[in-house]
Amino acid sequence: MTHDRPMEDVRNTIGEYARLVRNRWRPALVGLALVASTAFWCSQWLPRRFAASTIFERRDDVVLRNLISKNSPYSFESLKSTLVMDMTGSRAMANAAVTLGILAPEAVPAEGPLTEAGLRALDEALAAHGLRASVQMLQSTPSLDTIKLTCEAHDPDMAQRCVVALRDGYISHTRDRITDVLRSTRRFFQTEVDRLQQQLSSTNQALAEPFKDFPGLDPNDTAGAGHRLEVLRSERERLLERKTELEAQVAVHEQYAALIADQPAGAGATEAFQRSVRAAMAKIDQEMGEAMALRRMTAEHPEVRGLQAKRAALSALLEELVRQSSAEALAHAGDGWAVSAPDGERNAQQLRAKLELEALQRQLAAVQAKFEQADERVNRFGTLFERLLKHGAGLRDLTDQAATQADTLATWREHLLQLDRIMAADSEQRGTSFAVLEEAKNSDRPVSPRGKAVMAVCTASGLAGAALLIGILELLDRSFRSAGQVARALGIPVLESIGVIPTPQVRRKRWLCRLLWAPTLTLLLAVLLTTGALAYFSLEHPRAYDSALTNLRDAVPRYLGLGGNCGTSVRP
Amino acid sequence: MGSMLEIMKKVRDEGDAPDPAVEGVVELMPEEAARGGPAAADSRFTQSEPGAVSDLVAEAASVAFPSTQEWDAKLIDPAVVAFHARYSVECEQFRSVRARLLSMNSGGDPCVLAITSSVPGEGKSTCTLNLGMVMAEGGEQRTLIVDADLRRASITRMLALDGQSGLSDLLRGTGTVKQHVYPTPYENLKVLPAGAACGAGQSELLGSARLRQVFAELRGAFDYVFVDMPPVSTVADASVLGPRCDAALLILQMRRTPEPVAQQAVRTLQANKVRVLGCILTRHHERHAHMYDINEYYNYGS
Repeated sequence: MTHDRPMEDVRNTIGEYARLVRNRWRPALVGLALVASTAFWCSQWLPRRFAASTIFERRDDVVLRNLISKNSPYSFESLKSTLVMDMTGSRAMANAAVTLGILAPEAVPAEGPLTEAGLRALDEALAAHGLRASVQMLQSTPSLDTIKLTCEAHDPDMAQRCVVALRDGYISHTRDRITDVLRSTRRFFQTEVDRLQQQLSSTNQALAEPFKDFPGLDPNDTAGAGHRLEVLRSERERLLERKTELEAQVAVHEQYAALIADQPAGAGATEAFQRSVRAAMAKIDQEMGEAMALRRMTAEHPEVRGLQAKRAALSALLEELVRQSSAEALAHAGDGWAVSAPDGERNAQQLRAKLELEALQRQLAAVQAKFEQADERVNRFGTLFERLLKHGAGLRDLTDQAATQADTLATWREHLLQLDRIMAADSEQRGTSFAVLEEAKNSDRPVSPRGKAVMAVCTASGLAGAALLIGILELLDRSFRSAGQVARALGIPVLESIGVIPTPQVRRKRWLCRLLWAPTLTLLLAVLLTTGALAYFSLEHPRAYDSALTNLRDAVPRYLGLGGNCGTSVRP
Repeated sequence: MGSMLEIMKKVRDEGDAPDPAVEGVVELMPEEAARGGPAAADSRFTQSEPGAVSDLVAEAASVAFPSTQEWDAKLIDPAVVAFHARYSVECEQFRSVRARLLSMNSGGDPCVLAITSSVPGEGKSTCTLNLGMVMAEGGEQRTLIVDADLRRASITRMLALDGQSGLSDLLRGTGTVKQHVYPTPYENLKVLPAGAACGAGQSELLGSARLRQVFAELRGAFDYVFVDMPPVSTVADASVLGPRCDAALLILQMRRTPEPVAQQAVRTLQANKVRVLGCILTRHHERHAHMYDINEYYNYGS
């Protein structure tokens, strides 16, 4: 069937190869053993690479990390992003090389990048010892990194020392960087605190400026401010009333003094004085009527009340004058009238009126001053109150802003305090802590070449050698190897293929062949297995292998009775 | 290795029921040996006309020979599996060749087959002997094996007929065919040895005119004549003998015979107008891997 043809071809091909192997198994085995043994033996001289690794964790202080990253332009993220470079970069490797003593300290500058010469020297030193480092993040979270640092070198001790140097260098370098970050952050925090403090002072100053004359006034308490304004107004009204009253009294006393000075002696003077008082009262009534009718002043208006007080004072004076006049009239009637007051009494009245007037004038001046002061305060407080009513929201915002600024300032001061506490701590406890989970070990087993890989490569080489040998023999062999080949080459049919007739001669030949081949094959297999075991042993247990070879080198001369080295081959 | 005469003596001495005919042959042996052929000592051969080869041979064939079990196996080359291991795989393979030959010659005409090889040591004599034996074991085909390799005479040596008269004597004109034909363990299989005076110097005899006459006689007396010829690429004897035969079989040893040499041998045969029927591959190791276990087959049902 047609679909069987590919499978038939595959079967034929496999059969052809199987036939080749079956017919050439002896040379194939020889080739396999020789090539593989040579490869195994040579593998002992392959350069070995040993690895040492350490696992450590870097734990960041979450509070500090958040404090720094959220409140400053600095963060620990840069430490994380440059972790590989910090650990295995040229500077880190150069520092480790200096620590290991394979690089001169002069080749590494104290700061800045390495020079061309330094890099060249570093490369040469690393290449000479086969040093190579790699970093693997076993676990990475925002606050915890588990890091595996691996170093490879030709010498296991060198690898171990290198990994320790790199790790310690990284830890030290990271702590320095953290200290730098903390310092920068502290500077930033201090700047912020100063700025906020200045802002708060300005706000407080702007807020306190309008109220400096009214201590204890809360800008948010509009009702309280209004009440206070009313109190100030009442005070002013009271002072106004007092002033009006005093003015009226002063005016009366002035008129009285003037009347006394101008009044002729006798009863006519009292009447004239009464007339003038009545005229003054009429004038006051007129003024009061005008104030209440035209100016719409109520009776409670201070001016009206002042006029009322003035009128009351004139009225009381008029009553006094009337009573005085009645008494005089009675006296005139009883004595025959016209007994005029003597000049001394008149002078006393003038003096009394003058003194009373002066006292009233002084009182009036004092009240006038107090009134003016109260009026000014009322005016200023009224302006402030109006402003408070008009711009109350702004003032409240300003107050809120001041409060917020105060809170922020307190927070920043707390941050600063916290940072100061951290910076005052030991450098090992500053923000990030390191813990070595697995110390670097000195491994005897090389990581390169791998035992299994060497086994595979050498075996593959042996198989390739065997295949090559088979191929060469097949190419050189012009004999017939199959019936089909005979038919194709000669163009005649093959009647039959006769097997090997097992004659005694053939048996003898077979036995002879076996006798020759058995030890040969045993020897080849022994060589193959021995070299393979040596190669595997040298890779998996190099120290034991070297020790065994050294013992062998020492034992052979003793066994042979030789004094010196017998020249036993020992892997360098 | 002893001669056929010694075999016959042994059969006579050790056999349970000696055949009178064998007795007669054996008794005549000293005289026969002096003449140079066993058949000459047999009265039945001598009574016949020299030209009536077929009758004589038929008469000789009727002589009761011991069965294959009665022949001393040590005197016959172990490579003759048709005698030593009749149920072996190799013997069966020769029977397969026989079947092919019989099918090719379905008319049953007498056939003279030359068996040769390209280089020495490829097993042509072994094949010739085994093929002759399996051809004769059925009892129907009168078969003759001619050892025409006068330089080595391998068949003569394999059957322990060294020193006996044969083809070279016949070509030299000494005696008749019947005087030089020897019996074998098989009743209708005869052998014509190389002759007493075989060797490298005797190969010129193959070019004599007597050869045609001899082959004509053999063709008339036997159904199948297998002529063991020297290698084609080594000596020129095959070029002389080949045209006298009806066809040729080429023996090739696996993993030994170079392909160009084999091609040259075929071309040589074809240039001498020899029809090459086919080839038989010997020492074919892989053959065993695919063969049915014939011993198991023969034991099956027993």
